Amino acid sequence: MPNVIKDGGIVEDSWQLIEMAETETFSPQPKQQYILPLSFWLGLANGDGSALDAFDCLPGIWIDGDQDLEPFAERISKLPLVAIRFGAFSDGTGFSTGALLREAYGYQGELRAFGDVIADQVSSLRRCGFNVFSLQDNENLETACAQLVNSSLSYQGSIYNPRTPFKFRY
Amino acid sequence: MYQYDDYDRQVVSDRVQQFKGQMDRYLQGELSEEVFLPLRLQNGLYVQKHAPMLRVAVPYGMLSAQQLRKVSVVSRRYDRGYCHITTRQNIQFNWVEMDQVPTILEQLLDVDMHAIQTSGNCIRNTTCDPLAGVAKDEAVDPRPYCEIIRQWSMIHPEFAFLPRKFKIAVIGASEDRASIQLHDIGLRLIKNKEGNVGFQVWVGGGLGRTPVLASVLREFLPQRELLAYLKAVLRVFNLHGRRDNKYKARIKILVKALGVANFKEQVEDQFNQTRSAEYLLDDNELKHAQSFFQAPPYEPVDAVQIEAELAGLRRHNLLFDRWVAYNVTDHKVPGYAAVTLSLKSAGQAPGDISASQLDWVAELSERYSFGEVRTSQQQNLILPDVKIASLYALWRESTQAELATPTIGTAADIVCCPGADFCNLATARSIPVSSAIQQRFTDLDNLYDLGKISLRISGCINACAHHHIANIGILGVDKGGQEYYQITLGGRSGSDAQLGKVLGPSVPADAVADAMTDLFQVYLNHRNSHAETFVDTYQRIGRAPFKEQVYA
Repeated sequence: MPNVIKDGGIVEDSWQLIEMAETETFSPQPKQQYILPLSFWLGLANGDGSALDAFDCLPGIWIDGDQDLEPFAERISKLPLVAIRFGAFSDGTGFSTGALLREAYGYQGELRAFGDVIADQVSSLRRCGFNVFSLQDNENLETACAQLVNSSLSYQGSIYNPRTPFKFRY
Repeated sequence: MYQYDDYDRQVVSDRVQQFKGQMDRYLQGELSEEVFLPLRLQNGLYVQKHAPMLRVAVPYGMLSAQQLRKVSVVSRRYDRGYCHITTRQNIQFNWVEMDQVPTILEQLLDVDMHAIQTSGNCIRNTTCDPLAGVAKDEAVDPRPYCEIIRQWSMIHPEFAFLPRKFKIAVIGASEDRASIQLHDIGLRLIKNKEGNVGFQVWVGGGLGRTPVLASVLREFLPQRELLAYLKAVLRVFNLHGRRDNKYKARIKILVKALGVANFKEQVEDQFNQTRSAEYLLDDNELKHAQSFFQAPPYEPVDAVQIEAELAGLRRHNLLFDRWVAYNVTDHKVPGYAAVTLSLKSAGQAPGDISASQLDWVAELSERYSFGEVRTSQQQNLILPDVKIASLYALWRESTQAELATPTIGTAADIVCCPGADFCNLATARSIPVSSAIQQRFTDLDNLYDLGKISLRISGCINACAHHHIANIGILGVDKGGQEYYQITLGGRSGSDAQLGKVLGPSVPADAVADAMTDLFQVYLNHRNSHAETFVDTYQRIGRAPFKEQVYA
């Protein structure tokens, strides 16, 4: 299983991400945690939601960075995991989508960034509310962790603890 | 002037160390070119034609004597003994070595300077009225708010990878000397009927390929809500701005596509959703920010006597008289003036300044202006607080330093980007065109007779010299491998900003100066009095007579 950075440390990833193409023949294995595509999950969760009974563990979802979450905000806020895919590291839409989830929709579960995410972005992503980072294969997780440790002070704080620049400094 | 505290130093120092690490990883092959590109841009480092270029931020155009001396040292030690003042009030070093950049950044940190976010698709250096704090027409000093925005925008976690660059300008006077309508966000400080301070918020201005003047987004935003509102605008842009086409990625395109009303609705929604107390500025913070921009200890003077003495000196010295007429600006305090040190002397690339001139300016500022200097969008330097009684001495010294060219606001005060001589993006050179035009002004009386004219030259469509808002704009274009120049007329900056219109087909490089002579001649022939400026005459008589003359 690949490693991810979770809450500042490197751990084995216990979640399995299901791509859209895999959902046609998909049936959940016992005791496995799954991250499902949003549209597939919506299909399962619609109606009385009994389709989700086939899962031992409540599944999470993954979305693209530019996914509009407003229509599903309430339902998503109860999920254990939301993963946001970065199509290109230079496309920062996901930073705002993540921040919005935490700040406006009150999402408290695991928020992970995956796809084209580079080590040099993790400290900013963390401040936007992400707590798990699944980096590109060629990215160095130790480098990423070191950047998390070395970024202490900021003018904005984080989504959990926002501040104005001069707060506590006058 | 703002002074870093330990907090600022730590934030900037962390960033310098981070960039140093990134540079090491790049040089060792751990970071690919593609990944390193946006990281270095966010730290001000471009790769240009001949050498890397480092753009250093001058927050809202304020520099101390100590900072100028450091810039001088850096230009001697790591560059070729000069640097360049940009149209966004920053400083560029055009000949640095890539691997020395982290060292340069460490040295700049010694004097509270940095190069963070001077490039890349992020929030750029906030610009401001170069006469902030001393202008007669100022209602509220914008600098404390600029400093707050400087800090808030620096290494903002959410807005480092925007669809495109994002520029903010702030003014507090009735005349707009920072061109807020050309910015992604323009802020005008005002006092409402109740005497409360707030901002008129403009959005969606910008030049480049698709020049657009900004629209009003909010008539009055209470000052304490500034950062919460900026966050809302930026978030809407980051979520919905186009990323499929670099030329359609600025916020101006989003605002146009949605319409101002719809865009505003989205911003207000976002604002209402996430305007928690932690994002609001409290009075203590505002007071703290304001405390750095208190008026210097001006000396009370006998204004009448000083004016009389000045008039006497001007009568006896024509050169001094000209300099006072063109390079000296009124000040809100009696007995004081703001002085523009010209970086437009003949034979000099507009905005370039040598290391020894930097040292001169540092010294002049300490002796005559409380040790403080401003950079202007017109690529000159300003000493904001000069005693009128010292003008004569300052004139003599600045003349020696070749900083007293008495042409501010005239056609010889040309604004010019580095062009294809340096810049990778440029399609044509701009500096040689500028000097060819300059050479036509050997007789100052002829130049003065033309009155106020703004002339700006951009070497490509990115419009760094802001040619669209010049009375006469010149844009370099490539025509089958040849340098050609498109001329626009009728642009204006300031509160009545207007975009210029294309005169006709572009002309070859060696015909540009002649075309200028033609334009000036048409103006002289048609103006109804000396008081009617070039652009007013153009407005009255239209394009045809100018076109006829240039293409005859």
